[in-house]
Amino acid sequence: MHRCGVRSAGLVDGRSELVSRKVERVAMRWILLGLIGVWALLTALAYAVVLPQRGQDAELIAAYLVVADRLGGADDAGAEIADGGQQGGTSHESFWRIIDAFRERATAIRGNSMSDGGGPADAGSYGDGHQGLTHTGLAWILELPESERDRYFQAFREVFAEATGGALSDVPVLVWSTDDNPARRVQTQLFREWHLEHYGTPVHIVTDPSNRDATKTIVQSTAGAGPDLIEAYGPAELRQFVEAGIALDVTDRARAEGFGMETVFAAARSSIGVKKQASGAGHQASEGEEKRGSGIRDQASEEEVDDVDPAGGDRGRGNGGSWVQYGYPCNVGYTVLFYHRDVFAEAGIAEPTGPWTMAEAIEVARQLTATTAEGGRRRVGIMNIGAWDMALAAGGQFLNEDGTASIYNSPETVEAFQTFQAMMYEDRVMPSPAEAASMAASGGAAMNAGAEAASASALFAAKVTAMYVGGRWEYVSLAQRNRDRVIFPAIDRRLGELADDAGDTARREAALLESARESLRRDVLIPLSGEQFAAMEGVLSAEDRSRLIQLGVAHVPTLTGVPYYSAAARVAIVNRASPRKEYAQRFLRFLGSRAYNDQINHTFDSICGVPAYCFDADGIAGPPRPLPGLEAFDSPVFAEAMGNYAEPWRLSPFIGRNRLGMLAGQVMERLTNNEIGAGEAARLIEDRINAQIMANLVRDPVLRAKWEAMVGVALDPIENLRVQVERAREQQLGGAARVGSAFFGGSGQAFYFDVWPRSARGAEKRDGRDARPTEEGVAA
Amino acid sequence: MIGSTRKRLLIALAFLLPNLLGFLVFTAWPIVYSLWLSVTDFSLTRHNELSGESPAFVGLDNYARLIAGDESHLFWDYFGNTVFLMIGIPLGIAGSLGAALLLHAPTTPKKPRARVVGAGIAGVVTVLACLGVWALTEPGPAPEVAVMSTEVGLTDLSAHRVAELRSMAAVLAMATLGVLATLGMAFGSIFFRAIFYLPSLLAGVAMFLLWKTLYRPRGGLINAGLQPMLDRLQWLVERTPAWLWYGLGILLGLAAVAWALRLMWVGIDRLRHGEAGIGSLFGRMLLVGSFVAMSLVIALAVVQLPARSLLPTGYTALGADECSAVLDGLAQRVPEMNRAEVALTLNALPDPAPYADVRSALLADAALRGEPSVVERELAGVREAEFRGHTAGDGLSAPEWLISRQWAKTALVIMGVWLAIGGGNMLLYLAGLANVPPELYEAAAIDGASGWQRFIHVTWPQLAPTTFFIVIMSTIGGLQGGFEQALVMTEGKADTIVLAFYIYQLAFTDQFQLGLASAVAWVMCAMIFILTAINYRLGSKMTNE
Repeated sequence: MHRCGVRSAGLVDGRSELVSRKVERVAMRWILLGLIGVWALLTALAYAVVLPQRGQDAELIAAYLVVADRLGGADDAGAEIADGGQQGGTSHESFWRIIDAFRERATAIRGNSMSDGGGPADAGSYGDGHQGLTHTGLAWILELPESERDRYFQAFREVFAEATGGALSDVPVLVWSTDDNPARRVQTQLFREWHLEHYGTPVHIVTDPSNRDATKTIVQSTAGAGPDLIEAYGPAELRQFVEAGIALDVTDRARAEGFGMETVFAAARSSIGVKKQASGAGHQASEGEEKRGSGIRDQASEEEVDDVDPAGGDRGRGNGGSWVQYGYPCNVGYTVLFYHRDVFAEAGIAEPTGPWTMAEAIEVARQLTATTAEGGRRRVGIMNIGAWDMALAAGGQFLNEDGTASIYNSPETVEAFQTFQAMMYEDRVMPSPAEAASMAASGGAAMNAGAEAASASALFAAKVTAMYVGGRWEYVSLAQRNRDRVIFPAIDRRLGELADDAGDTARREAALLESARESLRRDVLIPLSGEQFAAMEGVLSAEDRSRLIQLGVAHVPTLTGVPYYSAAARVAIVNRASPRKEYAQRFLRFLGSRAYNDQINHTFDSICGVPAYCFDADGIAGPPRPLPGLEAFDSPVFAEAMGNYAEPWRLSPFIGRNRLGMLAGQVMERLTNNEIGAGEAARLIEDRINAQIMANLVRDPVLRAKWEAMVGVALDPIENLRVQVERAREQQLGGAARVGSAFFGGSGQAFYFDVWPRSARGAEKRDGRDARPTEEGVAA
Repeated sequence: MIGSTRKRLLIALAFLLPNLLGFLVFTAWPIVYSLWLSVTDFSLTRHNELSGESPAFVGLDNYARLIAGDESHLFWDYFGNTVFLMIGIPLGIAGSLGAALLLHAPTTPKKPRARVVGAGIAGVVTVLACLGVWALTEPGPAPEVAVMSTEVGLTDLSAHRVAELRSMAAVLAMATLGVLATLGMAFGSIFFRAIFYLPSLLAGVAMFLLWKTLYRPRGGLINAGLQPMLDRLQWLVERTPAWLWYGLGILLGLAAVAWALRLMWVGIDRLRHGEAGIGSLFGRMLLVGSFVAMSLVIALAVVQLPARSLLPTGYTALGADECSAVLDGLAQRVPEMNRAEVALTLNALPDPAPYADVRSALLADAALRGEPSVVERELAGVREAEFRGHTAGDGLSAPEWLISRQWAKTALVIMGVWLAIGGGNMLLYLAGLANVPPELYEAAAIDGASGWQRFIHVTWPQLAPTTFFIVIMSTIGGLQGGFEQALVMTEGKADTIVLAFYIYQLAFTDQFQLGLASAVAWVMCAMIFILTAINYRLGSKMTNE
């Protein structure tokens, strides 16, 4: 370029500049055109190739073929279906009309391609190649390569259209707003099959993982565009949808068709229904009002006990009678204690056999931290146990029974908090948040939110952590680890040995091992046949076994020694505004079926919400057998935890669950970071919750009236909420508990007694010094 | 001229229509609607077509709740966090101006041959330096038995591994510097401009994740560098009486304030004598602001440094009896005692955990003597006093950046400043610098102005419009910002929730209180409006001079 200024350049190079500008303009035009072209091409490609491939009817056809196979030949199928499906009648006839017509067409197509010169369309050859494929039925079609398969599918579409007068793509489509989990594909397919089997008509179902957010769901549903099946997790979320008026009441239908409240785990009931209200306003109020009617606290808690007792299921009108049911559990979520059996054995520590106490667990963890993990890493005793759960397990409740006040500042909570802090900062058996973050980081994957938890499980899998609180869904990751690190190398080694051996038995074993290997490679959840499993187990040497993750499962230790699980269910709710309510309710019924619940249990998707399918012989110990080392994933502890020790979340009509979680969470964070002590944390949380409830009551007259009706006293916005509730209770008890009134007499004194739980000396001092003339304080 | 005015207007409107429609439907209408929401008790779960209830008009109740009602403690808390994060703004502006000044000047030798030779020499030096650093720091082969480093609690790095990592980091740092120098020699300021602007090309979240790993309390790059320095500082701290550190910190703070006052005074004096306009005063304010912010940070750091050595070691020998004696004494003295004293004494006890209850009781008592609402503040005050958790002889430890409440916001500010220095502000300043007429510099040089004088009297006034724009945009951005950081880096923990995050919480996670959330948004809007108006008033005077 010329070194002169721009202006002179214009004079000198005016001509060339003009030319270059023109070139620029032309170039720009072409670039724009090119971009538009690329965009058009991509769009066309999307419509022409990608979208048709996602055509839904392939899955429906697959369901038809599978069901036809399952029900056997056309001759005796009618009777079978009449037994299985309650609807019976014409729809099933049409099912078989379609299948029979299709069978003819399929035979013709097969004959054609065979006369073309055999080739790949020979079903027999596929049957040999794919174990488990039947020769006689129709499901072999599904195993064909896509190009071959499409001819059969096209034939099916035609048959269907002829038989029903409508296209396959016109079949109703249910939308289920659930997560993006591979297991859902299996589950939706199961539903299509189940529906065909029981109702004889096809129904399609798709998942919608990107619209699970509650706000979206509510807005979409009120606009009439919501999912047909809404997913909720836990009682609080269910109540949001109920309050928003988008949840359909399925109580009667559920009772009639056998998927009522009484069929699910007691602790999961509040996740699928709410107690029937006496008046129109607010659902949770009814719970409290019932209890106020009984007047006495003990009775109220007795009722509560009955609610969570599976045996008390059909008292009076049954539990189903007092509940309004809105959904059905897809599964139930909670975590138990995992531990490494080999690590315990090495350290010479006995494995926990039944419920155990925190003190025992800490002692064990302390001994374990003295050992060194693989590669010279320091051993971590226990991970993933939180202050929240520890306090709940110790008996520290956020709210009293009817949710009118927080009673969190109890000796139980304080003790749990103290133990929790001590585990990190005194006993050093659990990493503090800073240590955990650093360890998470050393894995390299710890960048996003939630990665700390993911990395805690990775540290456990690496045997750095000896004990870890985890869920049954972690089977897949642990099984893959065992598979890739131990089982596959062992199989390969054995296959190498067998390669030289031309004997018949060797060939047989090699074939078995190879098929097992292939099945495991595809998915660790595919059940192996008994022979395959035996062959696979046979190749594991003692040394291999020592390198496996050898999992033990036990109850989560608690301060009291009685296990406690805070459980909630992931549930499906029927959208009240859905035009496909009928099908959606059938889906709930499907959720109560054996087919679905076995699938949940067998794929280690936590456990199902129906105790009947967990405790029977085939229950969670059924196929597939867990891979070697992970047998404990079928441990009875899982079902026991849910059946005997789980409790639902306690809710209050006066404070939102999320707000409560936020208020408590902030304080617990400081507790976890050792910034405040146990007593202070408990007191702060209680104060904050009570202050929030108070604020809500003062603002909302309806809420206030409800509160006053429940408690039985007029709300005094100045006085401590807990004090008011306690005092009202004592009055109801007829002045029997004067001790209590001494405790909660004056607003000031409540502090002293609460925060001096074990120090009588301090309390005396305080009393002596601080005898202010409050009415009850003087009396005391 | 084509057609009548009306026709031309219609044509113009026709061209505008697509954009205008989009604006009206997707921007204007939601804004108006949120204003309506903010005066109702609208909650998505209770008020929708299916639930049948309609939201009630509550007037300014939502605003009252935020400003002085039951939500006020959260609102002001989060507002404080937002303002805290804005501390970084003046630093960021000053930094981006500095970067622009550095990058504006051509730094490349003019002759191509000189460039090649320069780059070659720099390259050779780099390689040699890297090799040298490696030779000096490389810890050699691992010992047979790996010795666990006990300094880091449960973190599983052996001492050898730590040394290895440090060596690698040193080589890496050397290599980075060398590559920068080499490429800089070859391509000059263009290269540096590209490098400085690079972070802005990356997505914000990617940046945050990167910083999250840098901030890892153990094994993170920042603390890996900081900890050895602090270790070396330890002997100094141990040998220095606590009052000296405090005195130093306080002195530093006072000096900063004094200097700032003097600067301001000079500025006002000049304004009064007509030597300078209000614009230069504004510039001064900016400078002073960044200076004071910086020195306060340093002063605070100095005050925090010796916290560990503060604890009188004598107390650690106390037995149970003495402890109770101390407690008894405290219990009686509480009303007269300074609360920091109480906390300090209690924390000096061998094991503070069991006595946390005692402290709560004492403070609750003290608070109850006043008004009950003080309780929270009292406790917060003690916590902020930052005495807890330290035990004598631990040594100085690097901050737990994103985890501890004391450091999380500071960490976010530091990252914000870093992001701001190389960002769009720098580009704006570069453009501004390019527009300063060279004649002015020439004239100043002829008058014998020094470099600093040329900056103060030529560059800074000429950049006034740019600065004005940047200040306004940064203030607005600062009040609205912090959401992604809180969500990605701290998940709202460690007291890093800002107003934008609060809106999200209220609207989408906490009972869907869209009415209240809208009110927060409008309060935020009002604040931004007021601040911008002030900026504008000051700024337009400055730029018009």
